[in-house]
Amino acid sequence: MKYYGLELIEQLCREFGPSGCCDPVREALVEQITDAIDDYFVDRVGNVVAKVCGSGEGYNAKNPKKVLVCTGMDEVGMIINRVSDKGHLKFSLVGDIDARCLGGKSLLVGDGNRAVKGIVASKAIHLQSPEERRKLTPARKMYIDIGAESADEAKEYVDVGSMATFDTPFECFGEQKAFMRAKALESRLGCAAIIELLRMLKSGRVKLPYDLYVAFTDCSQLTFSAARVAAARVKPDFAMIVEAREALDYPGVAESTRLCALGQGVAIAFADGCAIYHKEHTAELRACAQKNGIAVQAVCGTPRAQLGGSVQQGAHGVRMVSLGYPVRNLHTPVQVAKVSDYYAVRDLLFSYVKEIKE
Amino acid sequence: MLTKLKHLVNVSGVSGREAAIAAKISEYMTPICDKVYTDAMGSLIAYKKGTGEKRRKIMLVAHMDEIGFVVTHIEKNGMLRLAPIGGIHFSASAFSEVVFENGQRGVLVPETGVKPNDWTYDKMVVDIGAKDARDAEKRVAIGDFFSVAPNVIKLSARRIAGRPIDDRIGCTIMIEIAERLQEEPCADDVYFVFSVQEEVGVRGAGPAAEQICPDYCINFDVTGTGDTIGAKPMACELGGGAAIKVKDSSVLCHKGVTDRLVKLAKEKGYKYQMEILTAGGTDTSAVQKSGTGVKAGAISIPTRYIHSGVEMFDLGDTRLCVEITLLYLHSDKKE
Amino acid sequence: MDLKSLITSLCSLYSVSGAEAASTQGAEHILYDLFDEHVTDGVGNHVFIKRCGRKNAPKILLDAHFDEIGMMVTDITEEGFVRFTNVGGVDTRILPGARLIIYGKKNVEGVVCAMPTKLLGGDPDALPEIGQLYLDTGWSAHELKKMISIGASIGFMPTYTSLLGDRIAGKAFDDKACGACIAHGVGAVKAQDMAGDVYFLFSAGEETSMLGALTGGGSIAPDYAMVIDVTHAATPETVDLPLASFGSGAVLDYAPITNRALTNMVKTLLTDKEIPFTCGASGGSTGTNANRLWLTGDGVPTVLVSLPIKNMHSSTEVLDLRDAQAVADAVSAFICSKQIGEEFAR
Repeated sequence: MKYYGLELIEQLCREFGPSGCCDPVREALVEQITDAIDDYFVDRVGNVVAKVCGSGEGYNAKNPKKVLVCTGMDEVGMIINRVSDKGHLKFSLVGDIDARCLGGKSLLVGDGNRAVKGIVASKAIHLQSPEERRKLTPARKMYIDIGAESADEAKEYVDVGSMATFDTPFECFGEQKAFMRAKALESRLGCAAIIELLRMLKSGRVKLPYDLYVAFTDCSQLTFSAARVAAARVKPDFAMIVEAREALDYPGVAESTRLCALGQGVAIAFADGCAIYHKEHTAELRACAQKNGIAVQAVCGTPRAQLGGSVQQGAHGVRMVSLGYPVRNLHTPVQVAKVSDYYAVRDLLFSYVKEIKE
Repeated sequence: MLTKLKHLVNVSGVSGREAAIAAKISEYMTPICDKVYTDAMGSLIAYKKGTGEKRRKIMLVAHMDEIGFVVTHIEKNGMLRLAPIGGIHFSASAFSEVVFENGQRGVLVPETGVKPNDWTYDKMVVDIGAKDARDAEKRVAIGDFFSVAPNVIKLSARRIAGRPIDDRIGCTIMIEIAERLQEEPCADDVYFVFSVQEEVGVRGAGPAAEQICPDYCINFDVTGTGDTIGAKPMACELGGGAAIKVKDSSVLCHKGVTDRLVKLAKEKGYKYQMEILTAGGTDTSAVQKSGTGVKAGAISIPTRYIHSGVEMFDLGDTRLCVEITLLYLHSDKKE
Repeated sequence: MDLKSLITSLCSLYSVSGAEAASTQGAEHILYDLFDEHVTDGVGNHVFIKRCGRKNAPKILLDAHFDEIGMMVTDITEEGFVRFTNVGGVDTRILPGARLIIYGKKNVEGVVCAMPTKLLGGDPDALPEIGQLYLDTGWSAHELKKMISIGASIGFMPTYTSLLGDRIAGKAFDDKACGACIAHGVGAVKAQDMAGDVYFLFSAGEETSMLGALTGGGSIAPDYAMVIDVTHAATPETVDLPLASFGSGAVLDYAPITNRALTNMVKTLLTDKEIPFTCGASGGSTGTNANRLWLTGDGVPTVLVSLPIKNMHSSTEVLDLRDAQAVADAVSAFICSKQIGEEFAR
């Protein structure tokens, strides 16, 4: 089976973009949205903010209402903090990576403009002490090997401050190839859904009664998220947060602790670690999904998150809803998501923006 | 004052679900204020215009939300799973009656066999007496908020216990102040902010302050005491007077404002104590950080057993909070 | 004033978080000659401004925090002993036997009681919590209460020791030594050579809530900024960590939240000017005002530079004057860089 629109996701996932080092992603995003928007800017902290002017019935041209759709664009990764004499790279983690999934993984190391291949070294099992075999090696004891034999050789390509991302290809797999696995699905799936939203609005000649802003934001998973600046600049009357929600639907996990599950549709959160979503608008969103036959599920719990809270505080208070897409192995080299959930997010965004009365 | 408190305590207002308590408070504030409105976050703001020529903006703030829970899952047998909203001590909430927004009642209990030390949210359930999941779904839904049932116990002429005293007592104090300003108007503009979402990380007061841009702010909230058995040393006790905040873990109060409050209390012979709370944060910090910085202080109500079902305070302390604040509002010098 | 005197005189000022306004005159006295204007605000920030003399010039913000960690009086016992709590991250291990000073109506000196462990529960390896310690002032409660009250701040004694070479030891290098580097660096250049108006935000409340950078950044609304704070220098117990050694100069930090293009330009600048520096990197939060500053207003491109010191947050922090000079030189170069000015002006 061939699904529509996956090339976009594939391209976005491929781009190099750990938090704070997102130039290639930014360029790709701008290129993808240009035809579908009225205006855009890259703000002073690297967010891409685009605008679709309203024109529909009830549009107040003098003092238009503003709706913001916000997602992240960055991915987890590593930052090099020391180059050893032998050319090995020591690193700190950027974002919420579980150190257990680092060993033996392929990486791209660089600053976005150019990158070299590398791997996270893992000591051969024969060389590990029995103690070491049982215990997690902390990230500060690991290193990246780019094949350099000396510090000088390494420094021709990378230096302290260079960043790394996982080098995992985008692939569809499983029954009917309905699953996607890749790095960076955590943010790029949301970016893709929003790009599709813009295109659908454009091709459908949809007239909205408000100005629609979309923001692709940097450092979206860090405590100090750049989304705050985008929200402060736009000052929306209403905001929709599009982000990955951790799916813990592994075997043996009780339904009550799964948070959400692949294939069940848009994961709508009532509250997460840094925001409580608007009760009535969330109900509206669910009703809209039902009316349009779009699958939704409730996020069973209050997952850790940063984006919604950053938008709400940056805007100095705004009503918000959350549209999540379930991702297994979140913040790891091989994140897994389902195509149908992606379509559900895209379709619900499209249906709901037409319903907002602001 | 106690009657008012009882009215406020009996209306539910878990963080993020404050519409009902806001409506209740606005019943009190609307007749005596110039303008009453809610902002995008849901905070209730009551504005009382001053009588002076050059009017400063004074913001008074107390949070109207309370800690609670959200339903995250309905088990096949009709029991509800939950997540905490705010800082819940499950050992203090277990085996309690809970109330949902729609009036549905239930009891919060730990899973059978789990020892008290392991009572965390994923080991707790709510039993609403449902036969099975389908029966439960008729009465509650995933995403519904609920809290431990409200309660007010009059222990003596001065001592009251119950919940949620945190921070309905602060709201009561603000209503009381607004009523007193009817009799003796203030020269400066006063904004009474009943903030939302304090319990989940002081999210409501900052946005309200960003809009108001106050010159000065006084926050009313509960504070811990050192007068219970086994308490960590803290020079703050029930009946010791209004607690003028120097610091908590989120804020260092503006020294000028704090000193002024102390001076005014001292001059009138009102009983006060200095509050240095080593754990816990308040709206004061969010207001202080707003805009280009706000001169913020706080007057706290010494309270035992905070975040339990039997939060206890002293009515005398509460009255002193009102009196000292009125002195401050009427004082020409604010720092 | 030479850099060393500038450091020791600024660091001697009393500025425990929350009490930054108390040393307004002190700071002004030391720095006034080096700047054109000095403004303070409601949260305790000090802003020193040096104008380049051109209209509509970009605003360059230099941030170092004025506040220092310290303690606060929580109770005065009947016997005249003082209980206290920490303001910011004080290392409790170094407190028993420490000499402290209480800043009240009158300043009162005291020593922290070093009580034998048998009085603290018996475990010889256990460390007392800060709430278990007493400060012995030698005064009766009655007399003491005339001079100090609950809520008064407590600081370490401002004594400075010259160690071997260019090293000095004392309190509060974090972060007023960086403030001294900024002042020295700004003082070393001619106004007309600057790429814009320089706003030195000597900010309040970093150690407790980063309050000053948040509100100061918003009100100044700079075109670009350099945050300067201390970082850990390499010591025997840190061999595994990527830390700079004394004498290696300034540390230029890469982090997700700082501006990569600006950091790269500063790197080129320091290399061209032959100012000694090494690079560092942090993965998430930097633990400095940069965390807050970049998100103020419509966003501030920010570069983070650090001064390596040892024994951070103690009464005997140690710095190397060669590194401090490198930081000061970096400041001079940064504010005079026309290239950076053109690239990052609004």
